[in-house]
Amino acid sequence: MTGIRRFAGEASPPFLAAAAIIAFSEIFVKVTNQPAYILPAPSAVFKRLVDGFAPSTVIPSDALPIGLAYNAQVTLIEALLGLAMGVTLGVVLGVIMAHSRRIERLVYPIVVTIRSTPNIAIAPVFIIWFGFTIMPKAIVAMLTTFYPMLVNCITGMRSVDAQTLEFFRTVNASPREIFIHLRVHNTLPYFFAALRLSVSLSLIGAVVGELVGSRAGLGRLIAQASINLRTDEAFAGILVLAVMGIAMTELVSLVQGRVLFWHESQRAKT
Amino acid sequence: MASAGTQVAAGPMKLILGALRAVQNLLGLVGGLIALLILWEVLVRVTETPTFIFPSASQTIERLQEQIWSYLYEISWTFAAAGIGLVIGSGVGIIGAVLMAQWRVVEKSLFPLAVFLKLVPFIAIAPLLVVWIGYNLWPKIIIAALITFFPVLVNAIAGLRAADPLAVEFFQSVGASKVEIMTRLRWHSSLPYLYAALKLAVNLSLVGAIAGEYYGAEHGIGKVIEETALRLDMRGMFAAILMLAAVGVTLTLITNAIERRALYWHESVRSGAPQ
Repeated sequence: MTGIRRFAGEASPPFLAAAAIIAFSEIFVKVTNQPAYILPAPSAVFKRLVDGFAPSTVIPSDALPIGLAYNAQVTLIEALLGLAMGVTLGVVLGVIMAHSRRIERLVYPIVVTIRSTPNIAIAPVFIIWFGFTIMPKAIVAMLTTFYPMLVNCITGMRSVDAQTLEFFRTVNASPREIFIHLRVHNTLPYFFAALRLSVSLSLIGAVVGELVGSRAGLGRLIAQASINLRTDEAFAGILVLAVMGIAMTELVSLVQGRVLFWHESQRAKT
Repeated sequence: MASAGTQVAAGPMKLILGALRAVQNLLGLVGGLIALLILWEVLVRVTETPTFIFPSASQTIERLQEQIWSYLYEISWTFAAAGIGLVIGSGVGIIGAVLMAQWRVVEKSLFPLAVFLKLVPFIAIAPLLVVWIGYNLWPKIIIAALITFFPVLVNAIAGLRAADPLAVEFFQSVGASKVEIMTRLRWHSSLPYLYAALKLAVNLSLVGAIAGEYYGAEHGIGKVIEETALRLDMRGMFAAILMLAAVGVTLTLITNAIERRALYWHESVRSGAPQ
């Protein structure tokens, strides 16, 4: 009972604020008579949203891809593939770079160059190489996501408690045991912190790739809708993107809560 | 007295040592970048990759030398849009965070919304803004500001909240005003969070500005890349990207140096992990 009351107390203010903002913009659009291509009313966007998920608009992939559901799925797969590649690259490089300062110095310039170059500038190269396939988007998403993962893995691997490390050594723990039971364990909170950021960055990466060149996906849908002044559809697409980003981040938080139940960041919540 | 004397002597020593280490780091980075260029050249030559797929480093640099002034001019448009957008977006974000931290009710109702909006890839509305506003600098500035606003706002609030509650209590017990607690305590606890957001924002603002340029612009490095891509002029495109990478690395080095100076007391800097 108290749990429900506390949830209502925590969750209701943002919902009320969101409802107020939506109601205000609806009234504002209606009263000032904004043309739909400049500022669509929230009700119009909502109608587009419902239409976009109607079963009739979900069509096979060889036809012209319309409908929010189909395009959302395209973007999701691109983002997830890029995320998987980025996380793998970040973790592998992170473990290697944390292990040896020499390799770190060798690889660091490459990593800095990749991170400092806006990914959207490199995207056309991949489109020329791979065509309008899933690869350019996944690669852009990978380049966007691997850096936070890399930095957090290095930090987690290195920031083990010195006294605990000494204890491991005194009980004759092998390097492998120290790695698994101490370093990996210590890295997990950093890993999840990076993953939460990377999840939303992977969506940005996929959309950036789609903006540069694609046949399907939410980024392409929004761009096409914008150019054709179907602003309500563009807004509906952005809304779907937002919901996808939140769902993915919350999923990571959920797993994080299960895996890191022993960590202070999780215990502080309860 | 003696301890004061050694401290005075240690001051310049430390400074010189620090400068030496900075120079050493920079040399290492430059050396690494040169090695990267050589590796690129060798790889392309050995595999005999045709120019229209992957031009070699020497070809790219040659092209860059021919066009360096025009590329510098175009890139300055991109950086102007991204920079103005970054300043507006992060400025409004920081002011908004400080204001929101004043009223618990406002923070409680708006902070979750800001967290929600932080996850929206606003980059997608770049084409929409270009259609609305035109081929000038404004859509790029707005998109850069919009992209940077929410990450900065959310991190600044999280940082303001992260102030040690015991320290806040201590400040209150010695009769510090709300303004004093904000400027002397909460602001400092927020800085590491703010820098983390700003480093991401610098990159995102550039991505936003270039996205705007792809969809229509009179100037900008994004327009150059778009045009060279349409002509399949790979040398021109790689030259433009190389230029952007060079300026981007310089920018990263500057922001890292600023962060190290401002956050020398924080563990993220002291641990020596890459930034």
